Amino acid sequence: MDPVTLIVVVLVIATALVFDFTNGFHDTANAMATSIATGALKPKTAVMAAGTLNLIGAFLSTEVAKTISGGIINEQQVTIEAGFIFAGLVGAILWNLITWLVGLPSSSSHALFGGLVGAVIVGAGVEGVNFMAVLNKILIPALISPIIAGFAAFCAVRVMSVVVRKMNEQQMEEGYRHGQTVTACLLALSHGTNDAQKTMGIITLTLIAVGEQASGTGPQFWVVLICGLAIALGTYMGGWRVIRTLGKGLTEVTPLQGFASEAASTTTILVSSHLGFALSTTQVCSGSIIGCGLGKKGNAVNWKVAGKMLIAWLITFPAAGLVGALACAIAKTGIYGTLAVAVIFVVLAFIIFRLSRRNPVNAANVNEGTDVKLNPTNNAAASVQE
Amino acid sequence: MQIANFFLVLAVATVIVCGVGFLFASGLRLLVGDEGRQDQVGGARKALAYVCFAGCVAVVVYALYLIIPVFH
Repeated sequence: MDPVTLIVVVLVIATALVFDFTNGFHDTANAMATSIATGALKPKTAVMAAGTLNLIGAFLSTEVAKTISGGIINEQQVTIEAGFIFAGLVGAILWNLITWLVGLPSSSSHALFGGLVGAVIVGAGVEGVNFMAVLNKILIPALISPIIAGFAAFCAVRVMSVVVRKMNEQQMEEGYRHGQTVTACLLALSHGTNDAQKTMGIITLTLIAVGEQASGTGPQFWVVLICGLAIALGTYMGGWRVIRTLGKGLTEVTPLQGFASEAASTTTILVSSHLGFALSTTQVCSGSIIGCGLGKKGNAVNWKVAGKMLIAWLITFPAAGLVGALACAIAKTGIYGTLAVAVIFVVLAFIIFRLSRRNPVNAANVNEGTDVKLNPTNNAAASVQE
Repeated sequence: MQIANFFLVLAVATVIVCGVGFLFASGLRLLVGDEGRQDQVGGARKALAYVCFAGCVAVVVYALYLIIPVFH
């Protein structure tokens, strides 16, 4: 391997692992936000469990996706070069960091696809992108997946509230906290079996492209190991800002609602995967939290935060695409361009990290403060009914 | 995604979540009893509660089967 190719391969692998890390800490909230908010699990215990289950999940499934873009890029018409992947990853990571800074959950997969599409458009032309797949796999699911999970969670909260209405509240909540632990762990395991695969696929395809691995072979053990460790470490670090938004910013979650929300998320993800199409875990989990908030009488949903989330979901793909396109435009000038992108990326990531230090959110204060204002009239009415 | 798939996932997910939720809630109520009526928890109610929890465990095991690709 010549030195220039070696530098590009090392950059792609390093960037892929950074993406895996940001994917982990961005998505910790999906599985653990409501468990942390209801006190079912202590914050540190929750992220430790999620990290461990993500690592286990990475080893349980090593089926590399046949196409890294899921059909969004016409891989038969254009060759995805290592430089495109690098630029796409830069776009995805920067978008993940920006949404983390403002505490908004957004899909890491959509960010990755957006970054890749932006890079491919600049590097290979518009014909390299299958825009119908963008519509069918990104935009429509972004709008309907929260509705599916939200409706399921809403119905579950209503059904369970009727069954347990005469129970002692303290005993009931204690029971649901145990249930929540199981549903949260299932969700974390499911995340590990799916999301670590993306990075494994990217690294494996890069190694195949440069002739370091035979075509058609699966990921090598070291690739599985480093990808599993990267996503587990990211999950363990805990995206506390996103956890706070999902656990406390959307609605006031009780253990019953948390159980319903996590069960609805897990079921929606597994049912949709089993029927042959994947929905974004982030959007499913956010939708189910809103649904469980609406399901309980007297509870309020902060629609301002929900609206911001919806906007973030809709602009994730184009925003990551724009950054990916810019990165590709610079990177395709040659090795110095690629190194310049790497330097700019590190500087921007450092600036975002420094900005986050102004208002740190961590395990100690993740449950403090909420934007949700309960409606006193409805709340009182609900108390009387119960 | 076809509109039929959307309704299929919506229907299946809602039925399963409501079913599991009903089983878990019923199990809890049978096991603990109503507020101020803990005396009503007898052997038969406890057995029925465990049947409800066993149903939930069966769903969790099936979920694990779906999550872990080597099983299918």
